[in-house]
Amino acid sequence: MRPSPATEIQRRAFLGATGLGLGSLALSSIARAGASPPSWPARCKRVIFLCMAGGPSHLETFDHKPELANLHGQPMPKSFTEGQQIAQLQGKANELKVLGPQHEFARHGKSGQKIASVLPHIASKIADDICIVRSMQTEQINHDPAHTFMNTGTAISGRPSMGSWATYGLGSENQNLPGFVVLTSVGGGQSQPIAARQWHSGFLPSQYQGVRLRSKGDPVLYVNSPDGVTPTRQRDVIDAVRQMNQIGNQTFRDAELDARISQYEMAFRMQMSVPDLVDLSDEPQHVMDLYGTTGADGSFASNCLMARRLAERGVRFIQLYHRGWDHHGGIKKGIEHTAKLVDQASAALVVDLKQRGLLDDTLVVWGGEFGRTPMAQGNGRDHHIKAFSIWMAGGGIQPGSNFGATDELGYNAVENVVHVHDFHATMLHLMGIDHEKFTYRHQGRDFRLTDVHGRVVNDILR
Amino acid sequence: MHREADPFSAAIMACFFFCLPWLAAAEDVPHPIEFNRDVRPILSDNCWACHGPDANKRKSDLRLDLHHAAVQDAIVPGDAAASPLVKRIFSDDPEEVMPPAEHRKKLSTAQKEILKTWVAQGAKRQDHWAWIPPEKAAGESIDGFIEPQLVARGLGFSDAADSYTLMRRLSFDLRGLPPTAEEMATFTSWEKLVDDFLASSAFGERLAVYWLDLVRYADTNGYHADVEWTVSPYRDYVITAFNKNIPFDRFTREQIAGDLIPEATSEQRVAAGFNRLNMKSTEFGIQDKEYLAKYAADRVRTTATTWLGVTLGCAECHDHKFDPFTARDFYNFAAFFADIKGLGYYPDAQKKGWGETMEVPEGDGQGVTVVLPDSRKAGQVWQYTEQKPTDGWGRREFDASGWKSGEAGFGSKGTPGGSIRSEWKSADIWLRRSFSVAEIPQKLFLQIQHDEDATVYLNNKEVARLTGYSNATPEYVRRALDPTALQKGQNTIAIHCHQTSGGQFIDAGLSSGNIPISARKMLATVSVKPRVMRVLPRGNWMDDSGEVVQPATPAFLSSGDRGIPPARQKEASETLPPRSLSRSDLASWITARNNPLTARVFVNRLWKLYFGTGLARMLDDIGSQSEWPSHPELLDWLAVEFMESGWDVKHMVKLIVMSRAYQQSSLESDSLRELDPGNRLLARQSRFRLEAEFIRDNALAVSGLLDRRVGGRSVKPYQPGEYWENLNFPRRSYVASKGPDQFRRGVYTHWQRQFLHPALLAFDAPSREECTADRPRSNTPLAALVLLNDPTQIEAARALAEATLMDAELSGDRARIGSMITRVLTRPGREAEVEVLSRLLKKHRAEFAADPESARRLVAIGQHPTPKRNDPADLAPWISVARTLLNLHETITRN
Repeated sequence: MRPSPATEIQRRAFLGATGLGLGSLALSSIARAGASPPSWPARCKRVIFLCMAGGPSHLETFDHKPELANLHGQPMPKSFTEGQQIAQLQGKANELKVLGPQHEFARHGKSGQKIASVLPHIASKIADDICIVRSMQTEQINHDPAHTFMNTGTAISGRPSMGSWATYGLGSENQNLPGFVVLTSVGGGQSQPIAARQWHSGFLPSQYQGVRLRSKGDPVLYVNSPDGVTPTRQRDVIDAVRQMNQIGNQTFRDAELDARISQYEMAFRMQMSVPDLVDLSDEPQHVMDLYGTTGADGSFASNCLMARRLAERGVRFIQLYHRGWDHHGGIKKGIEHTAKLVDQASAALVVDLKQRGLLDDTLVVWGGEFGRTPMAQGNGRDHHIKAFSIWMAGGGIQPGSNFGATDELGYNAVENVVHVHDFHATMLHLMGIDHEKFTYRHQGRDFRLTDVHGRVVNDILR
Repeated sequence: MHREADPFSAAIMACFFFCLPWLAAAEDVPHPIEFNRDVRPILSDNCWACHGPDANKRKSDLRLDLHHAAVQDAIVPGDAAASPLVKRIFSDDPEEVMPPAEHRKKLSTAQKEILKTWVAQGAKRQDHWAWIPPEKAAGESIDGFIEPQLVARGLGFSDAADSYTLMRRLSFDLRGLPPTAEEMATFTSWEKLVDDFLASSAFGERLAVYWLDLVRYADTNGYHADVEWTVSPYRDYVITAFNKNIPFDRFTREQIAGDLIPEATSEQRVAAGFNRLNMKSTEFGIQDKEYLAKYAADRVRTTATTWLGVTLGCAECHDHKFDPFTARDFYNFAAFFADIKGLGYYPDAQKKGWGETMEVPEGDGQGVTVVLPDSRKAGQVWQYTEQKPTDGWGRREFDASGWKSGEAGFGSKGTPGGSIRSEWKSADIWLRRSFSVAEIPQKLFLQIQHDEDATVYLNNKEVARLTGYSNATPEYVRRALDPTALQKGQNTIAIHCHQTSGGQFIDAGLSSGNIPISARKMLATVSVKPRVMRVLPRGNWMDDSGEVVQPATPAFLSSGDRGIPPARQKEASETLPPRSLSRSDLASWITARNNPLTARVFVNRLWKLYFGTGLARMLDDIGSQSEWPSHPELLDWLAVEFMESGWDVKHMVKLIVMSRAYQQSSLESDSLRELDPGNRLLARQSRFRLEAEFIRDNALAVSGLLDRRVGGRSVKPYQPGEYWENLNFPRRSYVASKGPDQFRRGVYTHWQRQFLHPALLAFDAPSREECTADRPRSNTPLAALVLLNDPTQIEAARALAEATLMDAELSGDRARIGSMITRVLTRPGREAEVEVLSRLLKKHRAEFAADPESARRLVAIGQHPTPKRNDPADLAPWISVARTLLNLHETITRN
């Protein structure tokens, strides 16, 4: 009925390695995936997802709720909380008190976006470039499953992440680098663990797995030759492997071999190109200053600069995690601290992409796995799934806009609710993919990133 | 018609429905139509989502999955023109046509014709093939089912592969290891080789690699903090079970319900640890109830996929879309596991653990002798008193004539953890017993069950002080004692046990051994009063409105003679409600002769291991959406043979590898490649890349580094620094194992669910967060980087180079190169190959001679010391040669 997975993967790898143009590659993968070819032109070619891991408080960043200040310290009205799921505040249903906004908000840009004072760069530099969505909802209230849900559309492990779906659907534009790259950074709050599941390809072929770009050790696992082996010697070994493989195959005649040889070639090209990618010495000082980074040190700022370099090189899906947003206590200072590590570089990335003409076909997304409660947890806030805020920029998104709203206490998204599935549908739509037709058959079922849900949020598109 | 198919598949799809749908040759609509083969896939994929089993999504109250309903509403058997179904699918009217115009799925012309012809021929139906218990079709041998299909197409079996290839194939298939030079040299007969390999302990290791994916065995909890726990005794149980060839029905029972077997052995209770292998969470703020629901669903998915090969997990939120499983079936099935003691939220698990555990002595117990038996098997007589005795009561010569005597264990009724033969209800008890030893052993161990505090004396010397209680499980605690407290001849052991609250119990014994014995903890399955299970509407754990359900097997597979066998298993658990079904019953049903799934699923997966693809291609779903098997009669014949043999796994493996089909060459002619690209006709063997673990094992084996000990704690191969940097609670660093532990087989690698060892990951090993029945086989640059640069591979290359240089029988570069090729590929080298490697050797010899520092650095990689006589500049170029060999496509391919 269909060639074995091995054949399929090999064919795919072969196409990748022989440098067939993106068009035919993309078309063939869509066809194989069972989806129709794009029925509309793609608005963006790549995605940079700035994942604020831990769950940033929408109430101290993008969702201003003055009424919270009025009720500060008073019991949270039960009409909001009764029968609702809570996380660490469980068992304290009778003591829930309102926590007023811990930071000031002001209007910014021509668009007059309301943004909190802890994000001065985003507010002053890119308010007119972004679309703030204040009506996000998710289904998982604890970090680990919530990330899994945000990345795969389900809390069950073993499903492909959105980066894998995107790369599977569209292939990579770069023959020397993986199509899906992940970077992580810490600071500002307790560092949430991030499982490799978040960038796993699940039941999709393994080459669509995200590859971590690391600031310590080998930038990509095993990308450095063994100690004492120079690039020439490594090349010699790879050449000898190829020659031996070809001799063997005169009798072995294995269809898989061409693919094997081309993967070794790509491996070598990665060995040669990754050091160049991570070497920031060709970046002028004003660019380093724009991001606020001093070098490739694994900070969020340097990762943002790296994200731009990856985008320039045609990497399809770039995901940055900053693991510092879990502010159960001391949210006032905590969020200030974390925001400071993230704000400048987030804004710089949008500015830099824009000035290089890359923003038009790059979708930048900024947001966490959930929001935080209007109720106090001590002097912090607990996990919250009924409302949170994200922003998007570039790649077909309406700049300087906002969408959706929460109730007066920021508890429930009440206007133009955008579920995680809707976000996925919209993201795929911008990439030229119909989320309902983009499927992969596994265990007898046609799986989608959006499962059986999701609708494209047309109102935020340009 | 939508399939997840390759771009080639325009042609393939056009002829998908014909009698061998995976064949790339166009044929006519088959006559006569066979429902299961030709019609069912069309209806299932295109119609049943709206006109099928799921009551909530059903449109127009029409069911096409049931014969009587379809005939009543949509089909006139024998009259296509009068059948609404045929009219609707051929309709040009967008309001009329089915599937509806807006529906994602469309019928092709060929599919419509098939449905029409089927209706015209009488619309005969068959139950889905996998729901019908297999019958043994007439046939003598595996080959007898395959060859006629080949002959019918003008084909035949390929010639047998050459002996090098065959031995290597068999060795990897049965042991996951290459054959040794000695095995190659002493070959006498195929059957003897098969028997030898089946008898080797590596056989169990090889099959365990497959089984452990299914049961999602791993060394960490998976969620959030992903901290370590100890379940390695379970892994060793699986290896031993395959090696001892424990019948598969017993293997099944021991895992699903080993703890419920009366007088369960330690091994059986370890096996029952299967029930505790699911991911668990320690994340602060999670709700117990939510996670209990997640774990329950995970157990359903895992058990159903592992044994039944069905996607029952799909029915968590709604009735199944394609198969007749209902949501109620899902929760009935989950209820079987509701008696397993456990939590949803495991607070502070790194310190407090993961609930019930048992201790399992390390090693195989051989070399251990009983010095003084405890009372687990038979009651041992002790002297005892409940009045505080005078000082010196532990001395040998103490006069205890006023004491009572009675059989241990001593305790109060209802206290778990041991057999109570003498009642003890007071606060304290003092026990004495005399015994004699001929020799003072080198190692002495106390095995004891105490509830609560116990102090133990040997000849009046205090040797152990234990507090609290040890009897959370029936396993006795083992403690090393100072053997010098013993003396030749008569000895006295004395114990004071003090009761503080609740139940009370004491019993002990002594054993000795010259091998070191420690104990490993193992997550234990303990049966308690079952949790209440409800149907969760839409899978919503917060919704308590659903009906309370009892354990039951899926209804449509349990009617009539397919129900739970009437003879209820005798069980150890006293907590299960008397008339409720238990996990034992589930195990009985799974392995009942008339269960249509279990045997088929297992033999199909064995076939996959030995041919690269299952007879039914989908290993994790043989339900309605699965693909028609390439040789359905063979599959059924094997399934019945498996059951009739007494579920004899080794018998089945032997049957398969003794066949001519298995021993064929894997060479593929151009015409065959064209006709049967997936090799479903089996006109040749298949070739495929080795699994991740065996790629490692092979490098270590051919280089002589491999440590072949079986079983034990998980080990940590070299891993790139900071690979775990994204783990937290706590942060931790990875410390690679030292000494022989560094060179153990891949099956013993520490399995970190969130960050699986990257060398395993690169070759498609699954994280084991979920049940995996079918590993993909990818071919990626990341995998190439592992073979090129992983220190494990570099060290193996060095060891291979060292062994070659040390071999006194070899002289000259060419002889050494030839020997190295044979070691790695188990075949003689070709002239042209020796030539390529000679050139590399020569070039690198010159380079390393000019740059001895780089040679020193290369040679320094890895833990095992380099023999002193090897000059790094001499050794380094040979490492280049060895690396080349370890990177060859042939090296990592089984053909």
